[in-house]
Amino acid sequence: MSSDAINISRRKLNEVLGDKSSKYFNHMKQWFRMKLTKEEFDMEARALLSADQVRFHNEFLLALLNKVEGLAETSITIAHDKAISHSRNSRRHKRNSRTSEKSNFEPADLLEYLPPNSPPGAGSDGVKYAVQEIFLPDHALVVGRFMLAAWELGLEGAEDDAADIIVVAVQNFLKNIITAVLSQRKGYKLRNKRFMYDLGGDMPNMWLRNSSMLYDPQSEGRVHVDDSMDALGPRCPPTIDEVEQSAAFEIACSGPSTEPNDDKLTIEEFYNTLLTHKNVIACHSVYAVNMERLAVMLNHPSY
Amino acid sequence: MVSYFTIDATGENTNFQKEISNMMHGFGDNPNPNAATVVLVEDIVLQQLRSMIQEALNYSMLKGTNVISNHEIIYLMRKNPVKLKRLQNYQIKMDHIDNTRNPTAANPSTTSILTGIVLEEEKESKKKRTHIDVIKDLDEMDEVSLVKFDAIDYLRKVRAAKITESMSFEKYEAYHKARCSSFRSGYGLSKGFVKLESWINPTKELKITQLALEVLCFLAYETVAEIVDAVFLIRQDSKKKSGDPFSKFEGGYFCNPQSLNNAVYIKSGYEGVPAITVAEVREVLRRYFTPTTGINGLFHRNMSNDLPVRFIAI
Repeated sequence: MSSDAINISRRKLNEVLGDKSSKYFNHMKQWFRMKLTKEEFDMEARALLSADQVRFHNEFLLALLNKVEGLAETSITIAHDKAISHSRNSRRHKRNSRTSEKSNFEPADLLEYLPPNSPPGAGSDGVKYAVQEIFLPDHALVVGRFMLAAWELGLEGAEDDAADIIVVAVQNFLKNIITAVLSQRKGYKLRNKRFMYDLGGDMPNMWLRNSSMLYDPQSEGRVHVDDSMDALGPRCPPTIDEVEQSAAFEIACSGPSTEPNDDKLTIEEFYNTLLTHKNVIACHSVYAVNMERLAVMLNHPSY
Repeated sequence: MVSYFTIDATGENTNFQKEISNMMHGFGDNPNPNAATVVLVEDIVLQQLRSMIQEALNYSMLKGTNVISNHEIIYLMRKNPVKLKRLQNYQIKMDHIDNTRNPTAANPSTTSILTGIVLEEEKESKKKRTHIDVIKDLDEMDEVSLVKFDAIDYLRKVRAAKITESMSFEKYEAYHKARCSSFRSGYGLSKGFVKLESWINPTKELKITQLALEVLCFLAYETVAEIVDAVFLIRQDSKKKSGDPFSKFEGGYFCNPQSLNNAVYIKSGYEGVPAITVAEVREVLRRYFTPTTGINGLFHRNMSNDLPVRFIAI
């Protein structure tokens, strides 16, 4: 397995380096943070090692790149396959229509002239922080950074499941914040006093009496005590008439209809929401730093 | 996918995946639910049951006993009168079923007054269900008796009967079997919960009474039901189109009377429902445990210094 290959080569390299291992890993960390390019990192490593020890360094880099390539490979091959099949289709069309013309002008196929795309992840010179890419961190990126952090602390490495948890956790965190901002802007319903749904639904007009809150056909859940062997069974679901009627009734009870607020979310909304809902971001240092950034973005010496 | 939580004392896997799969179909999912989703739901139910047992253990230690009985678990449910009322109806139904199954064993008055058999009579009456008595103890303001289930359910049942008349026999058979699954493994008060107990209490380090296991079986069923219900609510949210208020009901799980078969928006839910995915269940859990509503929300006052514990089913 490739993670064993990495570990074996790393251990050999550690034995060979001895005291200089901390310097080596410092250079490697700077390479990951894009402060050094691959060539510079290579030169520094060769300066630290003697001629026959460079072999271990090469092996280690090779194992690392193999592991990351394997993780990022599938997405690259899929994109590459799509590109190939697309160019093949377009070329076929052009040949059929132009065989009879004398002056054959074919527009060049763009995909042949683009530079080959480099795989994202630990081994490339591409961007490393998720914010710079404006993509959420994917599995390969997280595994790469985990492994590096683990090696610094003397651990063996990182498993794939840990990276899965982090990927889902980042998504959950961002969704919680966005939900908090949206819930300040639009109405919603609560189920069991905890589960928020139907964001953006019509809210009843509070200045008029209405009975819309008395009965919602979907509020009673799906369990029913009936005559089966277990005495518990699924409840008969509401009919489509009932549900349509209750939706129409909601609209009838709602306030005078203004244009729904479809604007993009603004920085001010984020700032105000995070001031009131402090516990959306549970860690105070993250909260404080980001509130400072938001406040700076909203402020200017000329205001 | 192997679940790491369900290996019991003999090293084999006790799991409820088949039962949960059937239950999810009964609640409205595709006839073949996604396997990864079933494993995830099983994990969730197991975790919830274990936290409930942990809380109940705290209460029973406060009381000084070392056995978890149904009193502690019903105490956990004390704030939710709808669920208490359902548990009450459940007990009434189960007692009725037991009586019709065993007409002789339910009559302590026929035993004689000799001392040896008086002990047996006490044992018999202890085996009776006490959930309703516990509920009456805990329900100081009589809220539970005020919860009414009304005639709307009857109308729905009539309509559902009309639909099932048009289903073929095998499909109905499979659907009926799916609706009948639960977490119970046998019937009768004494031997019904062997599998459930080995699932949540594999090393038998806690003592749980049979009545408590019955309430836990009820709560596990409620948990699965709440999760499936919430998934369908999320699907409605994702189908909303602006300007068309009925578009969110498209393709959902509703009881479709024969007369609306040609309606534009609605498809019948029995086979066409796409299976519930893992991502949907994760979104449901995220919304249940979101930091802005409920206990961590803005206007909640925590007078006692308890750590907040939240259960999906309660």
